[in-house]
Amino acid sequence: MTFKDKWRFVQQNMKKNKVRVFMTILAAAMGSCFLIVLASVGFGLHDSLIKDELESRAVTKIDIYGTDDEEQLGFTNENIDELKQIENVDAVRQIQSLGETNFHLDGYTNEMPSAIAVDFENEKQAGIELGSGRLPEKENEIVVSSDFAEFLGKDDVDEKDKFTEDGTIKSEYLYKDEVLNKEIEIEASTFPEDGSEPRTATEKVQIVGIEAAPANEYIYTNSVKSTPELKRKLDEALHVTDSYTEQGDPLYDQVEVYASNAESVEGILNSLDEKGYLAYSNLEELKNINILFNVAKAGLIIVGTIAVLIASIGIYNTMTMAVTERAPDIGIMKAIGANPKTIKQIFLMESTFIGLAGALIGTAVAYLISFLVNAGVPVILEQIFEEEIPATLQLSSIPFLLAAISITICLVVTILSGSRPAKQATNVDVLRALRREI
Amino acid sequence: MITIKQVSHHYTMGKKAKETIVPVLHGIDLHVGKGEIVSLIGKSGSGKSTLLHIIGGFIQPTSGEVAINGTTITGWNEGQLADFRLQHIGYIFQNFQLIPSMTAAQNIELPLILNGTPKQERKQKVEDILRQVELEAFPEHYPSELSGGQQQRVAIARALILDPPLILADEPTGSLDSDTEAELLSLIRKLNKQAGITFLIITHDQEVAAIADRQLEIKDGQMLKVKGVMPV
Repeated sequence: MTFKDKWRFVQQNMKKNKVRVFMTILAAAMGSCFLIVLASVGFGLHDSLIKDELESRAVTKIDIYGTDDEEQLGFTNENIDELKQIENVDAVRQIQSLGETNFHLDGYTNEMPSAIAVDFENEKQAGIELGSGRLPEKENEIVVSSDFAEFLGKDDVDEKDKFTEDGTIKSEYLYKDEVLNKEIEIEASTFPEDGSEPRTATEKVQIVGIEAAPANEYIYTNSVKSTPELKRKLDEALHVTDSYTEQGDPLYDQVEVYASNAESVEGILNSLDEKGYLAYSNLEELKNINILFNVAKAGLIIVGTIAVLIASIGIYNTMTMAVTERAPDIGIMKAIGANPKTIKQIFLMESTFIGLAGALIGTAVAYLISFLVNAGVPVILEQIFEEEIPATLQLSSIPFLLAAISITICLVVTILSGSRPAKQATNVDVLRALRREI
Repeated sequence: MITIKQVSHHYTMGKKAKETIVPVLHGIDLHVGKGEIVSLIGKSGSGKSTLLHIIGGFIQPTSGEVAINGTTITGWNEGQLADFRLQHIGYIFQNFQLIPSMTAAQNIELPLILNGTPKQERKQKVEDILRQVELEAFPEHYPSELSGGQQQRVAIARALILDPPLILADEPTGSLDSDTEAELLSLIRKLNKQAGITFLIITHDQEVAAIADRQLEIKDGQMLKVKGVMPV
């Protein structure tokens, strides 16, 4: 008997009990849909987290927070050269803090942003992204963060009136103009430990670039990146010496090493350990997060499978009733020479079709629900909590793997639940069936 | 065509530990030659249906051996017997045993489908056999829309569609009136003469038995008397 003819039999059989077959497919679809939607929450949140981490370059970044030599107060140029020699290191970013600084622009002040001096060649290698403008080429040029202007508040306004309840500057006191290519005054201060008078130095600098907004919209960054030459100029004016070695070379407060890819991070960490550096990578944390989420996703799939198992009871029931109802027909077919294997295959095909149709419909509906959840729930949450939900947050994600797992589970479960009735069909006694005793 | 050697059969009745053995057939020997029409008569419970079911492969004999067309089928599994039945034996039942949800043409086509015959060839064969049994006007009729005689002719067409060398008929006229019975017997004789098909007919109707080349009688599970020639 050809596959096509068997399929024709299945169609004829299902036509006889359209409603029952429809309800069974519906149950299978609901089970499959529940499984996918449930697990998609785990997949969605995991994806959001991973996306955040990857977009923030946190995975390949290694923070060096010290050396074995406790006497050493910062990192020297020799240290930087040594770090650059390590295999698979893409870039080394050395940072000097500008200390306490204020920035004045046309009667507006940004008070104490995170101001640092960096080597912009290294910044390029580390992957700095500009939203507008360019990187500094002269010593009195700076780059500011995308939110720099959000912290430029009008001078001579009472502190109580200036800020909103959540600490941001009220819009009426904010600097409204474009800050790019504006000349701004930097005011650096030092408070000597010996108790002598605080000293102040000022320099005119030009904002030549504005960094791209971070992936996480909810993170506000108020930072300034200047050249090492500007830092030296300000330090000389302030008579600050502790940022330099006795030979006059700079001492860096912070060093970041960028690996060429996530796989090489572990090797670099080992090399750093051997060379006596104290280092930390987010990758370890990410690995733990991955394990945690994978366990959670497996758990959600198992819980979802229970729904499919419940649906399989319906399939078992439908198929058992089908075998009982068709026992006389099965008897006739066997009497005229139908092989029991053929009978079994026809019933298995029917239960497989029900399972497959249910799984496919369930998957399609799950994709629709996932889309609606991702589109609708953030809007609802924003309305309820009056807070902006980050665009990167994905509440539900259905990768192909999840759809494939669900369809496979649904198919296996339905084939198993249909196999016993199919076996019953092959065991139908011909003579009893012909006498209508079954 | 059919050779039966020392076939005995008994049924086991009742629950476990309280089983009773009901003997049905006792050492039956029988030979039916190719192209013969043989009738097997006997009272209810005599064992004639059991013997037919053993020959058809629906029941395995308790002892003895059955060979059809030179092939011993005793001890075969259900799948082997089904395949053998499809290729070598046509079956005609007293109450026709047509699938009610299928039309006359679909019922007749069923053995061809099981055999894997291509659709175009199936269509042609069904048309031919419908003409042969004079049912060319009723291919799309369901069994419930046909008379008893027409239903039995559909059943005969289904039994003949794969050109089996042997047809087993279990009370083929039991559900028919006398006119239809005569038509059917005439058809059986025609098929036997034209196609050389062997018929083994179970009946307790003397008129039906009379069309056979040989009449065998079975009583209390044993071959009693023979009209015509010896059973073996």
